[in-house]
Amino acid sequence: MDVPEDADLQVQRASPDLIVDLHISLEPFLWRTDTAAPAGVRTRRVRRRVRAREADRIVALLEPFQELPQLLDPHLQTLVPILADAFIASLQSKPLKKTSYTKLLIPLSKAICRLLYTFCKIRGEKVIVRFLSTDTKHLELLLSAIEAGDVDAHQDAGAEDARQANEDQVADQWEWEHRYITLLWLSQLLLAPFDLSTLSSLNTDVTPPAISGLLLPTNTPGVTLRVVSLALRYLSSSGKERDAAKILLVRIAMRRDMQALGLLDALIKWSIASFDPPEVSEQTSSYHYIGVLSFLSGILNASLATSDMDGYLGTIFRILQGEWYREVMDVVNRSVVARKAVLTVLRNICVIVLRSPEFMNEMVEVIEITIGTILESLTDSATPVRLAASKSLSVITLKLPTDMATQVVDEVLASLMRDVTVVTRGQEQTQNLSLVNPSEWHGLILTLSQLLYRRSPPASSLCEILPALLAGLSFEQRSTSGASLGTNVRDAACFGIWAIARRYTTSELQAINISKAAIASKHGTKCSILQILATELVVTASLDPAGNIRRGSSAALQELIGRHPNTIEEGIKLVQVVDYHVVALRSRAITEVAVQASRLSIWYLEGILNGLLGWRGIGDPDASARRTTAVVYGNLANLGAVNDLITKFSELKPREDHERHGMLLCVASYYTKHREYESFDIGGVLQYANDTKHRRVDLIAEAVSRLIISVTPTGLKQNDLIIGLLNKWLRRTETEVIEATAEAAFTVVQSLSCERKAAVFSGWIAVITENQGGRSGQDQGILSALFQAFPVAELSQGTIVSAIHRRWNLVHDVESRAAILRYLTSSTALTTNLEEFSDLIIDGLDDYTTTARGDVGSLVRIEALKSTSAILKASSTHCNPELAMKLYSKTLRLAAEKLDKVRVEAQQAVSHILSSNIFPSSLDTSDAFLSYPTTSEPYFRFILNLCFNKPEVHSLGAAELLSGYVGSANTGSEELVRASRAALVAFCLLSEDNSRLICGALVAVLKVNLTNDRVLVPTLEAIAFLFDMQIFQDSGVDWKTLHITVQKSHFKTGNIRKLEAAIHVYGGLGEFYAPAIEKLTTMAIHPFPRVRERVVDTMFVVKGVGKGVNWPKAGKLDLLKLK
Amino acid sequence: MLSILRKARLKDKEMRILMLGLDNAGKTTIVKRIMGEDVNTVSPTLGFIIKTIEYEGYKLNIWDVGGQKTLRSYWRNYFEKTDALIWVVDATDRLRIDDCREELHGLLQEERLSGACLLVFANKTDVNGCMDPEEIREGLQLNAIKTHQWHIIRCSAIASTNLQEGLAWVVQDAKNRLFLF
Repeated sequence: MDVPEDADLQVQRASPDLIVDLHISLEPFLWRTDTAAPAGVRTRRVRRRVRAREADRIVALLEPFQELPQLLDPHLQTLVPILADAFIASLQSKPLKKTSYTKLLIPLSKAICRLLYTFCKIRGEKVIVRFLSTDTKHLELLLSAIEAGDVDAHQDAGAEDARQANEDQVADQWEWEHRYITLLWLSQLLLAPFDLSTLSSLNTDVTPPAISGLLLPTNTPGVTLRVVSLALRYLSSSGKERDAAKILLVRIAMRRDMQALGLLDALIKWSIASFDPPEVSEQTSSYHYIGVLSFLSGILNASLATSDMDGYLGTIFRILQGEWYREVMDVVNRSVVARKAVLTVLRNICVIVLRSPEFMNEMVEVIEITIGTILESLTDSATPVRLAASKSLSVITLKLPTDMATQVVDEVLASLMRDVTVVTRGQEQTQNLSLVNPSEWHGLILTLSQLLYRRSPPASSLCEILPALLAGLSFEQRSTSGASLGTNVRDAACFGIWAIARRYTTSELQAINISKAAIASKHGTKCSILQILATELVVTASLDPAGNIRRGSSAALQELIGRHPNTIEEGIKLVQVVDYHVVALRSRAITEVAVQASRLSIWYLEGILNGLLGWRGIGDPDASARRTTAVVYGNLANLGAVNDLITKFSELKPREDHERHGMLLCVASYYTKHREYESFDIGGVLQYANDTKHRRVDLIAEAVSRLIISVTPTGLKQNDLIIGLLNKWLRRTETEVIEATAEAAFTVVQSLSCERKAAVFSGWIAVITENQGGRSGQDQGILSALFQAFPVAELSQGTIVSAIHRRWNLVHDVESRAAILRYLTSSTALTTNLEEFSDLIIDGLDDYTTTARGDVGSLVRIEALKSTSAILKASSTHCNPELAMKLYSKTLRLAAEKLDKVRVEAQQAVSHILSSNIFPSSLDTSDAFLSYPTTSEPYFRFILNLCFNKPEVHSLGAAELLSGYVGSANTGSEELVRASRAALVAFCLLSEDNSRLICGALVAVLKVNLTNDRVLVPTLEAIAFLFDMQIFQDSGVDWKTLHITVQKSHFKTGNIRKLEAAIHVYGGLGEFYAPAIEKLTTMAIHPFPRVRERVVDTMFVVKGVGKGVNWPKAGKLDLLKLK
Repeated sequence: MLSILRKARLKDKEMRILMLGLDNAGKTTIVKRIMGEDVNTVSPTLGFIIKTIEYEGYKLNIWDVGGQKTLRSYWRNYFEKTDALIWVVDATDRLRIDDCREELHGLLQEERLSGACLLVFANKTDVNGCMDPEEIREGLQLNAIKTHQWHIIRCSAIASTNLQEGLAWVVQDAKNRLFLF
């Protein structure tokens, strides 16, 4: 139910490091310092290509700032110009040679543009572009570069095959980042305050682009022709460069000299004409229209408060209404981005029209139709369109005369209420929002919020707006598949309340007529509207399932209390409790914020209790959220409220399983906390649970069990019914259910008479011994209950012990074994009856069951290790020395085995052994041991020392330890192999004794495990490894014995890994023991080609013979060549 | 909502200031002095410069455009969304005060500058015999300006006097108008 920590907090902490890293990395990334030159006169040259990985790394340094862009601001001034200068320098340098292409390198210019684009993405292109040089001399350079890059692209697109053959060209092509950055930069350069016609160097012969519908004035300067043709080409592209092309085109069209020349007119006419293409094909790219629309919108935006565009408004408006070119508009309306662009164009038209009253009267029809269109778009299924529509509507409304503005607000409110039905329950009237369209509500509430943000509605209309906002703040719907809808509605409402708090004065808000506004909330008329808002915000901030809503509410609450001091109860304390960062975690928001806020005032307590009983608490689809809810509810509620709850329980509809679960947990939690049961009769609930068929039995089982636990001490009357129910539920497999029912069973059994108890136990024993569990796991609940109830079992204890042993051996299934050990660990039987159960633990420590799922025995081993820890932690007096030694040596083996999670658990167990009184001397080393990571060299060194430096231990333990250790040293992860091997070698090199001990023990392990491949193969490899390290040579092992043992180990085997390991050992042995070489020689014509290959390789290494023969086809005669 | 707030916070406290005036009035020198850069190597601006200054937590984006006669007709390219106009006058240049007045009054007619406030920097007041503010006010007929908030201040970019005070007025005025809430 909780999500990990927030990204913005992380970036705030990490940002200084990231910035420093950026500063350090950029210079060497972009420039190559000429090291040949003497120091002091070193020149630098810009790099041609850079490593793609380094580029990725630097981009990754920037990405985190997306969360808090302002952190970058102080550094833009230095960082962006560094990149820009290098870009210019790389464009000026000679073109790349196309030979040295590898995928690991990318052209520098591409890397720079990627970085600049990342900056733009994070901080906004308008900001970044300010830091680009405005030197006019770059105009020609950039313009030529983008034109050249363009030509490349076209040639390649023409010849797909050529591209395949000529991969290097693909790499050096200009990509969209190049074009995006270059077009942006050009748009900045075109601010130059000169006539473009005077930029003579750029005005060499340029043929005007042939674009249909575009009639450029005859004396257009060359540079304009080039820019316009570029911009128009990319205006129809699908990539990000479209935005930059739009900015460039708007910029050049709005230039004074270009306007005078008639360029603006020409471009507008072209745009209008492009809605009337000679033929409309389905294939016409919608990007073309999106580009044209965004150009129009940009032009209108740039001429907002001016009369530049007055002449065209009507025409553009009618096109967008689809009056003339219906086919084109159909294409447009299919694209979300285009619909959004249409809305912004309409908005800009309206704003221009509204500039002067006379003009407005002339075009009043335009305004009315536009507002109608936007209202329709508020219900659009695409979120960006709704966002644009709500913003547009608020911008327009702000400019409208008062009476029209009021009409708009009324219309929005009316649309909100259209599908709302009012349910009357007694005197209470509640709104039913289940029929409304959540997208529409989102659009409408967002519009209200945007209006409030601009302070458009007069304060007098707030009393109608506020109920809508409050309804929106707790809006939720379930989709047909059960997913929660309406988060965006709550978000919009939160924004609206924030805006109200910010834009309206205290007195305005206090003047609001409560009786009207209180409809939407349950607060009555006693408190002020500010208090109602605060209460609702507290509830949302502590209970809402969505993190950003909780944080949004917290922000709004801060605004509300800060701007309207002394109007809200315990305001300052409330702000401290409902902290922006604390509410980020949901569990913390419920368990801490809700509880602390409730203590501040009855308003918050009532609000939160109500909220807990709603969809944000007991109705939450997430079971863990309901459990948390119940805990908090139990703390806060009083008896009256709980009794109400019990009444409501009977009114629940059959399908409301979540609510039922939540409610029962709430009641249980209350009684656990308060212990005043007289008034409560559990019988009704039990009867209900027994009689009704449930869709989610697990939930009912868990909740009723919790209820039984919470009221048991009073003595229950319905024991038979309860035991019947529990026996049924104990067969379930869900963890939460097992936990709750087993505990309930334990509490109930305690209060039973001896005979009844015995009967219950024998029923349970029958289930586990006769394998009634059926599918594995179905008797886990019973196992848990048996272990919990073991101390009170009295006479039945002996039967239980033998039953559990029978269960252990009955069917070898890993889950049951793990479960038995798990419940044993948490039971007191572990210490009281250790003698009886110790064999299970020892058996568990040796469980290496492997199935198709892999090493599932590790589950059992881990549980057994936990049991071991528990035994030693409790007190070692329970543990006789013989058992202790056994546990110790096995634990040590597991501490060195290859599975990480097993090692971690074993580390704990070993440290418990060290600190217990079995080895009084080693008390102080246990902490040091715990501090080692389990995949590190010191960790393994410690284990080896522990085992071999204690003579009383190693006789028993050495072989045991090494049988686990070889696994780590051979088949573990790379890091593990390295750490364990390094520790082994270091230990052996320490003294000759050490290496003798190790080598001897390895041979012993080999002898014992001749049939156990799991240990055998890694042991052979370990011996071979020690030969390679020149350690085994001095071990004093009898070579003959070793040779024979190894031969036995792979006798008639088909296991290639084993054969390879054996060959490896023979190779080491062969240097000084001739029979090993003979054996190798015979294996050179082994039936398996892989084996032959290894043999010959080994022979070549040992004796330098055997090359020049086709060994896979070799016969017996070829063996002579090995002599 | 959080993204809207975040966006609003980014745009908050950011101002666009246009720095204009006749050539050789000292616009670039003022900008460089405020930025703490070297002012001895200033040459006529043939184009424009954008600088960002942090002032009392406000981010001032100053657009410094060249004042040569040929460039003046392009000033209006930069008017978009301007919050404040800083008009720099060379207080030693009595000859061109009429020219200066005409340019200023022409600017103030522009629709797009209607929302901006006007700060007149009387620069080079460290030179003896320069015009005093009264004289400039007369010469520029500032009293006739009814459409904009205006303020005149003596300063010297070379001696670095009164520059901060000028910015302070701009920020204060903008605070009063723009950041009401």
